[in-house]
Amino acid sequence: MTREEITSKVIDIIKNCLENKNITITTSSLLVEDLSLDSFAAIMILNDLEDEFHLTVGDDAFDGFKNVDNIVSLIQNMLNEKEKAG
Amino acid sequence: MSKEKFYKKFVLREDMQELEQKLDYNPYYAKISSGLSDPLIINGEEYVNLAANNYLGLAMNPKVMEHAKKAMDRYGISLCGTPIATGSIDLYQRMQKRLANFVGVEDVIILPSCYQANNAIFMAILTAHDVVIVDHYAHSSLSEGIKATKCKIRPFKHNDLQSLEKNLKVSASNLDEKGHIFVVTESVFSTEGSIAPFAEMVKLCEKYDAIPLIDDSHGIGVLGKNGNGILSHFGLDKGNYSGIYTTSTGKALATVGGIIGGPKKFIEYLKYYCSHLVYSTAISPINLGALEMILNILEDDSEYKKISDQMWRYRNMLADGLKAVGFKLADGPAPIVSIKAGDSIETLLLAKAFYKQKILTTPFIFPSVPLDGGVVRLIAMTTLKEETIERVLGVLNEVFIDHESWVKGWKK
Ligand SMILES: Cc1ncc(COP(=O)(O)O)c(C=O)c1O
Repeated sequence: MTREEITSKVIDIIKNCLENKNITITTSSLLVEDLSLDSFAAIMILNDLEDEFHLTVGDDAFDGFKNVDNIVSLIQNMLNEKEKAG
Repeated sequence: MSKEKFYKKFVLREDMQELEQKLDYNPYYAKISSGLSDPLIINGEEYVNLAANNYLGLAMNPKVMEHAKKAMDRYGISLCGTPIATGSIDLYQRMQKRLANFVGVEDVIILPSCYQANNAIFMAILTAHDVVIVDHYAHSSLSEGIKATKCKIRPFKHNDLQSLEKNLKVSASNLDEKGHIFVVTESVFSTEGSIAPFAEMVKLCEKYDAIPLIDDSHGIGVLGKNGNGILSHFGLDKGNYSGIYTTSTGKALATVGGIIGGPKKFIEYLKYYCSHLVYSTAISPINLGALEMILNILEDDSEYKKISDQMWRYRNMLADGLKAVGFKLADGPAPIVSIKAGDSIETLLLAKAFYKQKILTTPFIFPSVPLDGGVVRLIAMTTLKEETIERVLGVLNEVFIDHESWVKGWKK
């Protein structure tokens, strides 16, 4: 999967999880300041990412993350690892 | 790490102190030197109390206070033992039966608070095999209780049945043999006054063989026939609810305590295996005494009607008055009036504008609510005098204008 494809899926998933439908999400959107993610919103997104990409991410995977791009990188790395592992 | 370093980690952030200085106002931990009377006394001055959850105005009801005194005379201040030991007085056991009957479950245990009850229930029953599907905006006592266990957590979007069902589907298809699915929500969400679509949620639970758990802290006393709460509100109280129920008695029921209710055998188990009950000093007999009279009042049809009519009348007067001067309300159907105030600063400035008029309110800011979703909550207890409500309505315009100009000034 290309980074663009992952990015677009990640943004869709986040959009679906936000209570406020009117927020525009880009890769540089800040998780707390722009998207207002609290701990349950983060877990909601993580669950959907796990379901979508068939990964086991863990509830604290966003710790230290600032923006959407960090999430995209996490997923891309995990997918690469998974591919390598075969 | 040195002790000094450790304690340095746990100081209030400097920007918060700076904020307090800039705002010249801190809404938290006001020094109140009266009970929930009208007026409320803060720093020796008279205030209107729109901040307490004393919906039915029973916290200083003379009959309730008298009954509490009688319980104190008979049982003292404390039983100095847990319910499994000296705490299991006849009054405690009587109140178990009455509360179970009142809310519409088979049996209950009574704990010293609902924060404790909500922590207790999850820690007593959940294992790593279980899945908890929980409303995104569930109260801290629920979310912290759930997080303290090893279960899989699946938050769903606030009051959103579609999001709930999606999570039920995924959970049901991945569940291991030893696991159960739980659906957790609140009856009335206290920052905005919305009510969970609980009847539909229970139906979805049946469809996916999940166990519902509802926290009725802000529903008991205000929803249902005689304030019997959410189960009565949705007609689930006639023995046809087999889920778990919790509530605080510290709001409309004007005491201090928390209950966990459910099927008889399940509660019997908790009486021995709920650590927060078994290893914690029993609820004070003074509270139980007060609670007994409060249930007497609520179960008296005409008395309950009189009080609840007054609660709704004040609620509507307040909501109409606020809308008339231009405030935007969350406008849920519960007797909570929440003004949408904007970001944290805008919210604190609104609480300050009320405070300037000698009105105490409750501001909710991030992370209790979303960053731009700050609200100032007003609850008009029934024992406010008519002239007090009139005075509040009379200053709303000034509050609105002050707030607008302070926000403008802040943004410059
Ligand atoms: C929804 C909800 N649940 C539980 C609690 C905790 O109840 P208690 O004050 O009895 O500990 C509160 C607030 O206090 C609440 O608002």
